[in-house]
Amino acid sequence: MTAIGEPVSEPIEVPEKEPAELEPVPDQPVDVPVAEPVGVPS
Amino acid sequence: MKVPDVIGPVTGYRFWKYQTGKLRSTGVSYNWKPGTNTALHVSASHHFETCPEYPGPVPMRACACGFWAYSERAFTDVYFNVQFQPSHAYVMGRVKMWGRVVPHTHGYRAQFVRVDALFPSLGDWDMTDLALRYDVPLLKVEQDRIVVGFYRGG
Repeated sequence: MTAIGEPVSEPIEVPEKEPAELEPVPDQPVDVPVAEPVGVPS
Repeated sequence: MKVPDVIGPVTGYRFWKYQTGKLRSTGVSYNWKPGTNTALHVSASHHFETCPEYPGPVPMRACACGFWAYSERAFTDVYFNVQFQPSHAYVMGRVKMWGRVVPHTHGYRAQFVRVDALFPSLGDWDMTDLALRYDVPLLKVEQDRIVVGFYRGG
């Protein structure tokens, strides 16, 4: 038993910053594929 | 890229020895720096044997390395009162912990840590210089609640 008690799990990964502190991701242009016209059988 | 298990740094509470204007760990020979402090496995000294997990990642569940802090401020008070006589040679405060973190029943051990605030609860001595050194606020504690930040470093 230590001052902070017993370990209760394996190590976890904790980020340094809160989500609000993170740099915003700039809007990236997105290439949207344009569908080829489809022939309609007459 | 590792996916984080929690969304932000963990808040912990602890105390330090106050020595020559610096915060010093109570269990090992380490002077805390302003900003980020990085944990290492304990190496051989006259107090300790080298950690068997050396040189692996810090901390590991099976070792005792990493920066320690309690999960609640009340635990700090309880342990302090058991282990130490209150004096001006100790300082209590709040830390932020991140990176690899091992959760314990009453606290955490972390790979990275920074001092986040100091509590001038052990006397009336002026801790302004210490707060300036670590660039953190002094937070006044009344009736177990943190109510007033009366100095903001920076």
